[in-house]
Amino acid sequence: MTRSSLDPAAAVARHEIAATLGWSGLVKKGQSIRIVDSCGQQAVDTLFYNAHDTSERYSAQDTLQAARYAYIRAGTTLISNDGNPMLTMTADTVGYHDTSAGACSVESNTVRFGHETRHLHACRENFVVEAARWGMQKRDIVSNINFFMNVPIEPDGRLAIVDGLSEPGNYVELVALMDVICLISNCPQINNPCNGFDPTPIEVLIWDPA
Amino acid sequence: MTTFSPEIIAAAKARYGELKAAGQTEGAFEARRDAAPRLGAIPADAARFTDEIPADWYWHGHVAAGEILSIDNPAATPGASLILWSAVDPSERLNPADTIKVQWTAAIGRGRVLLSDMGRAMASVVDGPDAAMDFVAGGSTAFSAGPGRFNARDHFIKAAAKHGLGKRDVGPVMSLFAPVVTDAEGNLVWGDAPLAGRVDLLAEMDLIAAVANCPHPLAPSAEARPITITLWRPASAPDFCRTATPEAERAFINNEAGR
Ligand SMILES: [Zn+2]
Repeated sequence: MTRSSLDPAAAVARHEIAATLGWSGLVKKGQSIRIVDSCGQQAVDTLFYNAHDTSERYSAQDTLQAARYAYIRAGTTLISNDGNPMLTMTADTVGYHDTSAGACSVESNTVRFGHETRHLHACRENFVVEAARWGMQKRDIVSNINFFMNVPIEPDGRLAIVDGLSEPGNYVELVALMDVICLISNCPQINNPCNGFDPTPIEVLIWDPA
Repeated sequence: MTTFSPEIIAAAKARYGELKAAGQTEGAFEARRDAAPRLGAIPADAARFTDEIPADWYWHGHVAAGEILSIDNPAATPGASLILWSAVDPSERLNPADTIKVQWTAAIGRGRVLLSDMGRAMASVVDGPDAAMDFVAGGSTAFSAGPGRFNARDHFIKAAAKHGLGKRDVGPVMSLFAPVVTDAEGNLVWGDAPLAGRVDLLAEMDLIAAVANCPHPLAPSAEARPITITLWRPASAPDFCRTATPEAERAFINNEAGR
């Protein structure tokens, strides 16, 4: 548990993201972004891109390689595909967060849960729409961070999404080390426990540097 | 905004429990895998292409549906990384996250499938070890390999460029001969599986493939040794991966629908 001392009343931006929807926005170098799991157990699929050259983007594999640790936690620096530090997680009231299990999609849902789920909304649908706002396409969507999603990887390799650890009001906070575009999908999945089988709203707050 | 009734939520919760139990209970998958015949030596007249890839170098090329991409590692080089694109629509590519999530395990090996971001099987792992592939930590980079040394990421950017693709098409990758495991504390560590051997990937759609013969960044030794790439067509295509799990069967429904 690493708490933040930033005061919500001093935030320069505050966005409520309704259940199942996408959001994107700029976070400038030095600013802090907080993502609040308002109701608990809500996966927030998140990607970051260099705002000045979106071919540089968050790389889950570069980040885990550098940390030699399988999850994102307080103190983790998010590394880009060019090997540059993008953001550092400065506060986290949950413990650890997945970045290996990716975002749900209409297509993977059919494989995972059966073809009867094929008309349900999914994170990659949100990502494609938000990416398009910044001139990006499906090919720009890479492995994301799943804040508040609990996917332990066992020593024998077994992995599964299990009940989330986050409680109402839990949050993560990151400070930007470069100007970044943040893409969020407030995960609409109802076929696994990542949202407690009931997607709920989240909140994003942004602060200028002190 | 969508809202779901308690009945729908309860049904989804029960179904997830059943899928997870089926996906993670040892037995059915292992039995089907272990009953399947091994490929054995590649017949001399079956190969249309073979090349020895020197240490730290790379290979790229087309693999037609029904061909096997064999990667042989006789000298136990510690890791070689792989990326796959659909040759028909390269915006469809290997998705390491879906590959491990959908199959309920990061221990991917013989009997499993490599999944695209579009819910299709790009390739079946028709022979090779039962695990010792890494989908979590990826391949080497300029940072991990150090200055002046070739690395997997840059090789993949070059391979992409030679097929009309670019840096934006080089996302997460997988590594062969790379027994990366997550220990009980969450640390990524190098396991003790044997590295030498051959991995055989049956193309389940027309592919553009690239292999970087660069040591894995977590390997205890950074010394690479040559590997051999062979493209060949077996007398009869091994198809046991298609029915090895319910997830694979559903992926192949998507393969059929997408043809
Ligand atoms: Zn999702």
